[in-house]
Amino acid sequence: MRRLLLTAAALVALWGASFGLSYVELGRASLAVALIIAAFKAVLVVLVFMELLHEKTSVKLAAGSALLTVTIFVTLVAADVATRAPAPLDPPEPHPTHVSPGTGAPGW
Amino acid sequence: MHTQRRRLKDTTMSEHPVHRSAADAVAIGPATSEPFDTLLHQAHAARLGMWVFLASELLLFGGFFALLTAYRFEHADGFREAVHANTKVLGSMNTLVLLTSSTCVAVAVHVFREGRRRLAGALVFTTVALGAVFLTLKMTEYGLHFHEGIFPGGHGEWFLHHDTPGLATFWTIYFVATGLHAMHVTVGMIFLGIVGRSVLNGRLPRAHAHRLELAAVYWHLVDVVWIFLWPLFYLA
Repeated sequence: MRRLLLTAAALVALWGASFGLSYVELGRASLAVALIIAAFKAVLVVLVFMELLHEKTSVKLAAGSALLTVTIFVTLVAADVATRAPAPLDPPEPHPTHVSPGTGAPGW
Repeated sequence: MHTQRRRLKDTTMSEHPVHRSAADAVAIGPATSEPFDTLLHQAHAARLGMWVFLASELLLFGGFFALLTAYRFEHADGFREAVHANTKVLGSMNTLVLLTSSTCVAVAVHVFREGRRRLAGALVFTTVALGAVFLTLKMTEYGLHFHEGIFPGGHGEWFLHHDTPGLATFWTIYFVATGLHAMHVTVGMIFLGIVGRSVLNGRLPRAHAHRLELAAVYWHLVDVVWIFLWPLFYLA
């Protein structure tokens, strides 16, 4: 019981930290900080409230494989969109495939 | 097969904290269902089944997290503007409501294993009530958005005065993801309500505490999903 109540107190404290920090201008780091605090909260809920810590290996495997899959999925999506070349401001000039004989006008 | 077998002198069960003695087992009348030999195996199979289901739920919400990641990279300014326009205080209160409800149901499982049936039932129904508070606040938020002219798909007059790229995308994902989450809250309330009733009227023996655990872990997952939706939609 004591462990449950301590976990609840920690969750409320982390909630307060997230809420308070949302009023502080942290720039681009604000989302990362908020998500790290969220991850701490989630770990507390999953390990203590959901008792994953005391579950058998098969249950841990089911939970762990889902977490791993989602992590790989989101990481690959993030890596893709973060490393894309920026879209060109102007469309590229069309290249003529051949020049019509006699007129000099490009043909398509 | 509907056969149920009473195992009054199951030594395997007596190792479980719930079954400390054979006399205790007689009092609470544990019975297994086919094809399980012991309640321990039955409870483990039920828990594993629930966790596999929860894993699939995680993959479902994982799609939304991937979408949010991709669009946030693409429209960083629009997403920041939309987050600032969101109902942060109400959303944050809802986070606190869900964290409190998770604590309630975790304590309910704990006291039910100790045999305090009425307290466990009361805590389960407190959790259901907190779920109702969450949904009420969520509907209030939706009402405020609609009043401002924010609708899914970039519809509404709010978008006439706010044209940063990505705003329509943010609000569409917001409505779909929080709507799907609200559906899960509703299912969790029904699940907990059914089990909670059995706890209160004594039809759920202490030996079958795993049935309450199943409803509880489902509720906790709903809480975990919200723990991540909250910063993404309200904080940063």
